[in-house]
Amino acid sequence: MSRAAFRDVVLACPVSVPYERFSARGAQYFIGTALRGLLAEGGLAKREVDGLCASSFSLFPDSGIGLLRALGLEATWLDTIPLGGASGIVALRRAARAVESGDADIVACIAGDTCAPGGFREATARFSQASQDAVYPVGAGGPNASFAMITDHYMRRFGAVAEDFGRLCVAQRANAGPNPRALLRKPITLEEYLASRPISAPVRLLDCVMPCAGAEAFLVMRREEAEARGLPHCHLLAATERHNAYADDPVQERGGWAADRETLFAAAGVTPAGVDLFQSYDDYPVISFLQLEDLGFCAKGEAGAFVAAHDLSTTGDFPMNTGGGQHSTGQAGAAGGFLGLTETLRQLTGAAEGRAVPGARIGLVSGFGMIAYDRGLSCGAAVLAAA
Amino acid sequence: MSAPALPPRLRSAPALGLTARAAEGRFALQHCAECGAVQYPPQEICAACLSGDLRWKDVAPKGHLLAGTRLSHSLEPFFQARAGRPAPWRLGLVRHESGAVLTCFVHAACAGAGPVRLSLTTDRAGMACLLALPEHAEEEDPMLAQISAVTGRGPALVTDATTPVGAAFARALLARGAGPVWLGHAGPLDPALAGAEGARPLDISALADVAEVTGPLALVVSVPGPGTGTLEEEMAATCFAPARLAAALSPVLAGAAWLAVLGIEARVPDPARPAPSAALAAAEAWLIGLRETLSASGGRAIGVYPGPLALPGTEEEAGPRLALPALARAALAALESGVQELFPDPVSRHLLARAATEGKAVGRGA
Repeated sequence: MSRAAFRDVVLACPVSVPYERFSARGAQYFIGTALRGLLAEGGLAKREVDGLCASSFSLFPDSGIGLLRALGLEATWLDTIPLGGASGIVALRRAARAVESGDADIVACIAGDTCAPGGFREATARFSQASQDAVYPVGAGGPNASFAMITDHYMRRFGAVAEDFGRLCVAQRANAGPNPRALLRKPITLEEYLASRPISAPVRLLDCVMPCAGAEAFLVMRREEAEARGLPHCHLLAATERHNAYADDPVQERGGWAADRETLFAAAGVTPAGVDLFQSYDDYPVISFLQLEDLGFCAKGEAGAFVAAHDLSTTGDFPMNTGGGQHSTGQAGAAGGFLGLTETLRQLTGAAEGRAVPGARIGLVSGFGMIAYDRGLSCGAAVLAAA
Repeated sequence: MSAPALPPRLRSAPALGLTARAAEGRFALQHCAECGAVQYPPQEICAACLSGDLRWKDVAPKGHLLAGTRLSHSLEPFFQARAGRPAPWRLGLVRHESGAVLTCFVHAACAGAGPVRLSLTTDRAGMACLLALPEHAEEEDPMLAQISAVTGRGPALVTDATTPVGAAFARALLARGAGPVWLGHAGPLDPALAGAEGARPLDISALADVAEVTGPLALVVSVPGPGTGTLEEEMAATCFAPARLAAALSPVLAGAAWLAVLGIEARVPDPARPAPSAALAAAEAWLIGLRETLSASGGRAIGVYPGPLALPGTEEEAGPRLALPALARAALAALESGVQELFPDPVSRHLLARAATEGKAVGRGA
């Protein structure tokens, strides 16, 4: 069996803890509230959850076990995934193998983070040894400057212009309109995008994701478990992860998706043309562009033209980031890496009120995480199918 | 007074190696001793072959600017306070000849991708930073000047201008014309020096109100003892006197540079001259503490480690000797370029290199 393939594993019970720009609560509150939501959604008692997979940047000094104790869980399986925007895909892969093998029956996958004024500075100052030593000292705390250099390189190499990125931002914000969970729902125009102030040129304010507090969660179990419980669910057809790919590229212009795309689609038994909706990891538009290219929707360097040629709305010919993406909801730390999965699970189970993609059967979700000083290190993708 | 915002100082232990080379004015990158791969940012272990034997090696400061950004918004107060004033911070990724991709501040004249000259220097916090400069142009970039703003330009004080070394520095500072020059003295000064325009004789035998007399200082040059005295005399002149003066001057040293003229014996003791060697070693240890104190206010301490000097009365002695005006010129230039440890002549550099492989045994025997 392909390393990307999974057998009779499903996702159920999408939960989103409402986002807040800043919160006085800690990560434990958001993750615990997400677990409470999972139990309510699934009609489960706490003791029925026997696996926990958690992702958070702001749990310190606790790790997974401290969290487990705080939530009053007893588990036969525990994992933590410290991979930022790739956490959702990787958590799903870990949990899926656990239920496939019988190490656990019901795994709660939860990502949650808090956000306090000044907290983002503290988090970025010591994000990694490479960023601490090679990018924080030049004033570039946080990923803006690193992604700006990736964007600058992409523009030089492939002739992309600001309007190319702007069209994606405008389309995503339009998709957020019917999403009650998005913090930013007011439509923007291309003119407003182009006029937004420079943050780290060529990156503008409207290119940047907004940090916030919140949580995203879902359950992973075997198909028969979900069916016996009568839980709406979608299937995990295939998923891949790849870390530190193309480390010799002087500047990042592709991600690990390019190496795994064929394996992923072959294991899922679908082609890019068969994808009904796509959730990219949208921290910065250039990264969404790399995903469109590396996952096979268009050739390298042509994402700008692809976006211009397609309607990315839920009723369009290429529904993408159907809830508005992190660009509209905000980025609740590691939960940003789960957002595409909960949104797709809602779409494939008929729970995307007001923004449903008609007749959607196949969803592709992508993750990207852990910027070093010059590039993101972890990539993953998953193909989900309606039951 | 609250401490001024400085660039971030937090670094991993391997990354401090870059600062050590920057302080010496070298352009060095961390290499794997087994496979030769260059590591950036500096690491504990080779990312190519997993050897733990990583060493610093001087390399040509040449690279190619690959991508850049103009940072207008920063989470760090030092950069945020200045962002947009006078210009956003220009940052870039530069591929060094070795293949390593380095994060650099980029000179305004480096337009677009292309070849650049690299410089490893120290920032306002005294930590390493890399600059990408145009291959040939010489004009100053105000943004780069802000990163390393400690130039020592302004009112200066020479601890003892009655010594030959002190007098040489006094003349160089007076010629620089960057502000008044206080001429410390406990005995008679050269009348020509004392009467020069900008010169301000200062009796340092009365320390109590010295800071009130001088007002804020941009630079202090401390000079060593005569080199021919007893251990007590050398310690008093080279170590105790500057330390007492620094304590008395502490109210007026915020953001200032302290340039200590020491001698290579501070690093490599001369068995034939134990008293000055011991005093210089003690003075260096004290200077390292002063560096930490000054860095909190954005100031810095520079150690100068010359070999034999062309002092009066040494004309007949064998071997190369560094002329005092050349010493002063080199030291003031080092101050402008961010160097913190200056080995200004071939003899001092030779002894330093030997000490690196032979340790303190240098100079023993034949």
